[in-house]
Amino acid sequence: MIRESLIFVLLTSYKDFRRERERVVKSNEYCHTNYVQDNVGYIERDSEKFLSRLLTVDPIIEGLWYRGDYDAQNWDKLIAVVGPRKMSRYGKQVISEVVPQLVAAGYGIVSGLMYGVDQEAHRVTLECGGRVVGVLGYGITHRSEEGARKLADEIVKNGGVVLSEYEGETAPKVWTFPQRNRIVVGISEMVVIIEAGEKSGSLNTASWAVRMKRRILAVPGSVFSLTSVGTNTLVADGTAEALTRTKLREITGKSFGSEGKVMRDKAKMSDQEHELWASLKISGPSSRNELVRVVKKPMGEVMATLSQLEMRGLVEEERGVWRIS
Amino acid sequence: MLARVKSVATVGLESQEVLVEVDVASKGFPAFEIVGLPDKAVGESRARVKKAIENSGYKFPDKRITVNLAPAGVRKVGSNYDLPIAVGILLASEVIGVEKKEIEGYYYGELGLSGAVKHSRGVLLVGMLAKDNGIKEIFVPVESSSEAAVIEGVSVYAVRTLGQLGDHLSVQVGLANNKLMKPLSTIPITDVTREVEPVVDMREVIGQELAKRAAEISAAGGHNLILVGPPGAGKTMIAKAFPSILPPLLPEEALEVTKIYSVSGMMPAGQALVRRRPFRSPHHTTSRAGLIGGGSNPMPGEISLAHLGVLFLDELPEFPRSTLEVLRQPMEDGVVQITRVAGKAEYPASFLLLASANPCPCGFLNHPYKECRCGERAIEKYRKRISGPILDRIDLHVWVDPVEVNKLTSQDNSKQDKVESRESSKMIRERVEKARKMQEARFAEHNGIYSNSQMGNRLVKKYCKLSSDVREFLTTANTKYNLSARAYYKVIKVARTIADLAGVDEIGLEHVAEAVQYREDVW
Repeated sequence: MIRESLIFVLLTSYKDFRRERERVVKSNEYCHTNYVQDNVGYIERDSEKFLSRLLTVDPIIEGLWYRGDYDAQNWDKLIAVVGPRKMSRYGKQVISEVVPQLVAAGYGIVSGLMYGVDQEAHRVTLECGGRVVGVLGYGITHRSEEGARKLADEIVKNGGVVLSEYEGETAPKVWTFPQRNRIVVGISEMVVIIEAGEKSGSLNTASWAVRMKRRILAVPGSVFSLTSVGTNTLVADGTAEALTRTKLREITGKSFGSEGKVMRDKAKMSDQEHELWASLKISGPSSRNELVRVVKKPMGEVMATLSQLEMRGLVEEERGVWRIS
Repeated sequence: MLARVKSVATVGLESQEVLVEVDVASKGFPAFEIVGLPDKAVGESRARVKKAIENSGYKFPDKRITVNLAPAGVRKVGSNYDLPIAVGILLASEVIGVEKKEIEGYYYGELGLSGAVKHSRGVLLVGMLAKDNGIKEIFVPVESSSEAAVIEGVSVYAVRTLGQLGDHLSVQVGLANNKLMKPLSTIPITDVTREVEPVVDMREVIGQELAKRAAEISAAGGHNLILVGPPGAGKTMIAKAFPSILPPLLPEEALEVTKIYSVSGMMPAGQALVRRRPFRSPHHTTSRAGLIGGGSNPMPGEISLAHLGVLFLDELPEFPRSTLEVLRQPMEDGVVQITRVAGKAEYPASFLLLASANPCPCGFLNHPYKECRCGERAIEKYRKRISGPILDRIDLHVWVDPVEVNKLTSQDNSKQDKVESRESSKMIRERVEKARKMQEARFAEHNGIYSNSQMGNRLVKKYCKLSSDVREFLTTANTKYNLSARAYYKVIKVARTIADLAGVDEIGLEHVAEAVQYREDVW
């Protein structure tokens, strides 16, 4: 009996050993090629290149792994834009409004590369040619989910930097993500929380920001929305300032929602297109069925008009809901 | 004495004449034996036949009876040989005094112990085979007889009991008087297929303008359609109303559908033809065999029962992937071949696929009032359950919004959305029929192609000439939506149907602009 169980233990541990070895061999190959190609490097805490504002972060950061051109990066004027993995339509809309303005005002955007709000913030920043800093919650060369991996490559390609305090292939753990948040907050001047549920990880980011005395801005949301419970609470208890038009103008020195482009395109709209566009502007995001009832035209016609408007970038659709862009 | 009676064997939709030879020997111990590859049901026929004969007031011969079903190599399945065997015994034992021991006509049907003849499957095929083989008379169960009555040139006798049939056959030698049966008068097919009241009229569907429009396009061009929306939005109702906007069955189509229903024993007693376009809605636990057909004697599956009609797969992502995959080949070919022990069967399966799906596991993604509680990953995983090849075969993808409750309940609906002001199925169907006519003319020289959805890329290039501004629009759409080559052709095919609905020969900008809204990536 004892002998049998001993053999079993030996066998399984041998199998584990084999598997582990294969993994290490594979990952080494992967790491090797990518370390060279992707400009992976390491900045020690003692190095003079290590950002001074990260020295005060507690628990201390031993050093940072990076991909991309660390030296060329402008580390000033960074804003963290964070939120949950599950992003609502509202969150997406806010990002598409706010991030371009922050970028236009010369800010770089920091986020955590997680799917949802983080990735959307990175993506929008890339689209408007802003500076991007992504901070990973796992090893710098860890093969994470495809979306994050591709986005990280994209960031590096566009002159951004991806950071991590974890070496090589370190796999993510539940506690690595909250730890990562302290770096996100640490390098940023202020933190914008787009959305947060009742127990969202974004609240953890907020508490780091409180400890490090960073300015916190939360986007207020509907009282019915589960994804805005956290942000509304932050605003209510005075932890965060509400991100309003005025506040954004104060930060960027510009007005909310530049309508210049739309005004230009509006001139080119046909009567039909303008009617539809105008009713979308008045009634807010609507489904096609709702639009048909408002403009009282056959469905086919409405759909054709919508397509034409969409082609010109005047309206946009997500999962059956249309709004002006 | 030896008697010969003719009957019919059916495998799939193929039927074949079977000669039932009955020998009642003058010597030997009393026995009753059936040979010629009988199955269990045919074997049990001995007990039914014996009691039916006795209970019809005849004497069952105490002699050695041998029944041979020829050709002996073909498997005989089912209870339909009861009647010919019984008639054969009556003839061979000279109980009913017909001089000839070989009688013309097909005898087909199951017997009850009382001598009553019961509703049997496949009677329409008996009539058709009789016509093909030049047989003048067929004797079939009364309840199934109207199925065969649509065949011209064959006298159909509706048999109620074995005794009645015995009297009829005896008349010729004067054993009974005035007990001659009369053949049924032929039922003209055109009579049967005239308009039928729809189960659900499109007019009853509140709101859902988008889904209705998509249904119209789908019906007009034979495009498969998927409706995506939260539970209770009305997906099933639209699906149920769908057959009512399809053109009514043509006589030959009705016959084709009836054949399938007759073979599977699904014709209601007393009904001559299937009059409505089939609407089949198999549950998602249906097995692969249940869907495409099967059984040791292959029977039609749901896809064949939906032939020339609608196959509605409710909650498409709930269907196991392996079940859905078997649909691919029939969807392409319009027929399905099943090979089993009893033989090979080919069933037509040319159906329109109508599917519904929830947008996420909880169903409330994108719902205006209810919060969806699914994680992004769960949603993605849910969608991936439907395989790409199946989605590829669906041309129209449509969101269905939840209906606002106040719309359902309010009495003083705005004028715009009163029941009377909404379009009825009939009005939509008229447009659909017009569009179908255009397609008929277009594909006259192409065999087997009836609708725009069936066009291959070559035909798309031939029949969907695009003007330069349309092409420009498509190029923009291509870059904006990142359309694949297949999606690109799907858009053009749908645009073709939209143009047909509008009655125009050339595809215009507005048609393509509408068509791009039904693309696959909208949900």
